[in-house]
Amino acid sequence: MAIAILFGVLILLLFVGVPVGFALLAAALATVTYLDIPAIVVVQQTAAGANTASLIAIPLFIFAGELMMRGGISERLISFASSLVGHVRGGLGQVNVLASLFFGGVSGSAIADVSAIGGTMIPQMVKRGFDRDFAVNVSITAALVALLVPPSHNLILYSASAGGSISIADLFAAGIVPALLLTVVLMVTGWTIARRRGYAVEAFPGWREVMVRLVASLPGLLLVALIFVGIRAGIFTAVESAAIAVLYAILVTGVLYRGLTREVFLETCAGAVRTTGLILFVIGSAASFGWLLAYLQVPAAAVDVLTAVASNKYTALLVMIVVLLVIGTFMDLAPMIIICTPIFLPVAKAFGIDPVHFGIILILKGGIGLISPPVGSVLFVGTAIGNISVTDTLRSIWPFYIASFVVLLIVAYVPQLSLWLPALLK
Amino acid sequence: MKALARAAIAIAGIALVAMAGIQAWQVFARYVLNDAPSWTEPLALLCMSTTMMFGAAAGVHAGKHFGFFIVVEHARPALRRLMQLVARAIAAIVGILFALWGGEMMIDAWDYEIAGAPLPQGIVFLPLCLGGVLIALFSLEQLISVWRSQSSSAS
Repeated sequence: MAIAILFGVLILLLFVGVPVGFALLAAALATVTYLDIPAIVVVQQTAAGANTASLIAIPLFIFAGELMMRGGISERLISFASSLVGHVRGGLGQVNVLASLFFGGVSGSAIADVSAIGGTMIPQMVKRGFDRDFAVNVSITAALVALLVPPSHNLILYSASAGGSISIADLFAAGIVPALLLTVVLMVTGWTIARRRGYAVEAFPGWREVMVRLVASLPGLLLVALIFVGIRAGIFTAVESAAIAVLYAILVTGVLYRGLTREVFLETCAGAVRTTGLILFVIGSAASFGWLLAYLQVPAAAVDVLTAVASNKYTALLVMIVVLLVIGTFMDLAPMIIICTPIFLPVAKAFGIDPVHFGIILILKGGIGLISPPVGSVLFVGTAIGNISVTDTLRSIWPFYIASFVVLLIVAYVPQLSLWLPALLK
Repeated sequence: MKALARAAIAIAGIALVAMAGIQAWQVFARYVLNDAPSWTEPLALLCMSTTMMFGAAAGVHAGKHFGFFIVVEHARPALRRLMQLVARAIAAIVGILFALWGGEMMIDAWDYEIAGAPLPQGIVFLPLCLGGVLIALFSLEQLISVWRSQSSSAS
């Protein structure tokens, strides 16, 4: 009965339009009242949930990403990507995907990526004769790459939601090959559509120009290397590397690029605060919900149900992917990670699925939710930038959906893609 | 209320910058001074909960919290208003409970010291209490606004 109250109240309130953080707290309050547990425990658990040291990396990486986005790094990364692949069929569409891989490594956030890269690329693509729907479709699906490459704060969130037992360094390493695979598959998809629609290509600027643009964008690319190598080699903790990323971003955008004025800095702080406040509040709220899940032994029940439904780890994976896809369609990525990890990770472990591998599947699958209606925040940001309706976008997005699903299935059923690099770097 | 929301963003922003500064100092002290201070972690955590609660309160004012709003948007006007009232009432109740219980926990823990930092343990709960007050105020403001629009459309 208590489990029914916990999930029943949560689902009811979400449908009524209560924001996720408040719905989680209200569901927890209703359940502890039913169980005759002092309700103050909900606030205590929220305070404890927000008092986890590893979580400090999340606001700092978001802050560093905002600094890079507003301080001039994205333009330089686009310029470099343009010199590399602008002459390939699909021209600016290919640039868009590759720039997302570069910028994803800097921002680690799909929303930041679609805002920065899409904000620059979509208008340019439309100006040069690309259809609006193609420009938006390429931009929003390319933004998924950002979720998988360091310093993805979603991977840190997954690690924290798993109780901090999963190495962030392993997760960062595990996301790289799937991100590269997704980049290649999206570029091939873009190439195919571009060929069919007869889109123009850019002129190759020559290797000298490529090198000039590489040098200009190098400080941004170096940040990714700094974070990745620093954490992987055990020189910095994830939190320390996040603080270094902020300082480095201030130095690069302020001193080197001179794009960080006082006004830009204040806007950046406000933007970072708005994002982090919302994410951290959901994390804190989910702590009390997660505590109740454990108290009511919901993860154990989930293991029992899935063991009864699925006979082996392959069918279990398929069932979890379908269930998580449905949940991800209705829920934003951060709340989905926080709520689903304590329930589904024990199931994955029970079927012998590596937690690092499962994390990559969860994030990639959640990312597809971000570009799917009705709650696709990246989809909405992309269509707003492209000045096109969601319906018009969805009419022609299916090749990109198929490409993303194919990558998801490959990543899910070929664990070596995720686990090879962490093992190699150990 | 707008000024209060701006103040909330300013406080959360200062806490965010302070958090980055504190962690950067931690790295500098550990590697350059070879003397890792113990106060950095509890202080950075205090900054994080300040960013969380004041940022969340500003999010309530701006109506930017994560949610599933498609049912509300497609509901009939009367039902939509009822749902909006319920959503804001619940946010207000949560805010009030955070303010009350956060305050209670702050008072209870005030006489103890945080491990590693010369600060009262109770200060950890101060952002919860103040953030709760702001969340309650912003939610009540929106509740009244929805209620008034309901009344004026009825008359």
